[in-house]
Amino acid sequence: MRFFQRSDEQQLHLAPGNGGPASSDPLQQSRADGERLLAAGDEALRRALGSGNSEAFLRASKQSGGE
Amino acid sequence: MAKHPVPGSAAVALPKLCGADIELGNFIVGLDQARGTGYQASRALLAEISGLPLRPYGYYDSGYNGYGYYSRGYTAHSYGGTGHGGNGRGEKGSYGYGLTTLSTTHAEEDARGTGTCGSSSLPAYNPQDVSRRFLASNGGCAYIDLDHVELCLPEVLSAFDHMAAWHSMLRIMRTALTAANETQPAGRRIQVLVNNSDGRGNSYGSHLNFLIGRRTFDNLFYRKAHHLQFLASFQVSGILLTGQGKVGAENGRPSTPYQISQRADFCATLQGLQTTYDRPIINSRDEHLCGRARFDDPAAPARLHVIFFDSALAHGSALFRVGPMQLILTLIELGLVNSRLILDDPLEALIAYSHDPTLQARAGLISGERLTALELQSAYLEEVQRYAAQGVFEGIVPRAGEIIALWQDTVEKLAAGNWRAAAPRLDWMMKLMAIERTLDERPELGWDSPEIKVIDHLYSSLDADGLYWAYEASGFAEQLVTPERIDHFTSNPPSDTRAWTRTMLLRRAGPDRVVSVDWDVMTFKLRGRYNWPVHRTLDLANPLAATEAEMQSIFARNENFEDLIDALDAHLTRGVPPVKTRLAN
Repeated sequence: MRFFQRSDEQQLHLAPGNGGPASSDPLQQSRADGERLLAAGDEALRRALGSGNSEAFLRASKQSGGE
Repeated sequence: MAKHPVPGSAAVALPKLCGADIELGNFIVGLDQARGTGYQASRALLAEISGLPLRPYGYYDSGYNGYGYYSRGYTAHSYGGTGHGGNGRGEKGSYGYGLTTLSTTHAEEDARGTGTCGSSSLPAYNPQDVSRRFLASNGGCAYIDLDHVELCLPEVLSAFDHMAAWHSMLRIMRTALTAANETQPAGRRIQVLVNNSDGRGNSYGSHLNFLIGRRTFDNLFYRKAHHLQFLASFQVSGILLTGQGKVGAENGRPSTPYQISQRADFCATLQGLQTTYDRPIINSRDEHLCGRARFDDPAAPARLHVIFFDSALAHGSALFRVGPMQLILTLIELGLVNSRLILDDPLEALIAYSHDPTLQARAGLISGERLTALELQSAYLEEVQRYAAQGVFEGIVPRAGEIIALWQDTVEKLAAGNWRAAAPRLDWMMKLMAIERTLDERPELGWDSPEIKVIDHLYSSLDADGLYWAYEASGFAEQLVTPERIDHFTSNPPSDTRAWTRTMLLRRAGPDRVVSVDWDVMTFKLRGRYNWPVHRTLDLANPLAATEAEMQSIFARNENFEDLIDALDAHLTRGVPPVKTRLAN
């Protein structure tokens, strides 16, 4: 299970009707807002994955030690 | 030096001025070298950042008939800079690690392919301080440290200004990156990552610097072990708010798919002087960067060099690196240390906390109680709130109330399990969301897939492919300072510290007059009697002084540069009373 999925389920468990303090409506609204904004970053994710050879990128990213 | 007494207490605290020296990951995609490409990348990048001095101090100066060494007087070198690692009392250097800038010439010529420098009389090459240059735009500086470009922020008082100044330095760096990439041959591209680990066992630091009293420094490292432990336990639990997040583990630590901190795997001791191996949670480097050392004066200024935290892009994480530290250091300075919050084994706790993004991991306190990182942070927050109500932070930590409110709000969101509300404020959560979205969309990938590690790295890419910037542009990443404030610091210094005078002097002097610059001292080349060159050195020992309010009229009255130096010198050396800071709380 994903980390955020676990958090979501915990939130639902806490929602009214399940004995918890949170209200599910604002929660769902907040989640929908966040989803919309996050989706705007999906194109950047696809570009990152589609931009080339991941293994070559990781090889190139080798750094010398620093402080 | 401004000091603020606490009602009902004999203790005094200094305003928690802060700075930073932050290394970046830099490499060239398309250039295969077994040892990596940091050397070439860092030099190509730095060549695109303008700053002063143009040449290293002591460089043979044909323009003045070779009198570059004439009248060197009171300079950074004459302080006896010891370079990195120097810690022996009585042998400390000035701020700039000795300013061994012969390497400036080597580096710049390497970058340009000219390579003609060489005088055996010049200082030895120092791979940890190459081409240091101070920026006339905002008073910060940039140089190369072990093949990493390193950005140093100008000194500020406010954590909010610190975060804005940090993002402004990133903007400056991004402009340099764009220019440097235009010089690369086809098929090569310089990449800059604002992170702290290459995922292959190499780490580089994102250091903070805080003004504390000499007595406070001595208490931490020589007199009061519980002060050190109190600070270490705070920092360890603080990764919850400051971590950038990282895929996997390194440095021989147990494997984990994802962890909160980039640096945790590299911490090996509770405290120590070293910064490149067996890194300590609390670094004991003792370079005050405030003029001549006064080790016997408990009220003298000292600097705490904090190497523990990750680089941050999210405004919340960037703010939480600094603001809560200012508050906790104030408590320590005033002796308001609650020993019940001390972890039994901070190093063990650090790995346990970092390797558990579910936030369920517990670690033992010396009391025997076992707390999660969130519970321990909440306990520290309560301590701070209790003293804030007594006015303890007034005049010491600007906007303390706002810092505390954000801290509380974040802790409450996490305690409620409301990760989606906290994520726009915290790097490790934003990065985790990005990775989990990728895993959902590409079910054939797993945590150990190279593509996922690429996402990890590209979250912090400075270039347009950086995921953080995508979330900022979409409005998902929470903004705690305005773009205008960030823009302000790309071309203006902080007005409330000595950085203002440093910047104005760099602008007024111009490249021909600047001989050497360090945080607490500047040396200029002027024409003396019969046009003989003379060097004049200006002491900027007090980081809280030489502010715009204090110095603006002197600058306005003296158009001639020689007159200006005379006037500033007279003002700074006549024993002016400590500057009262004007802090809005």
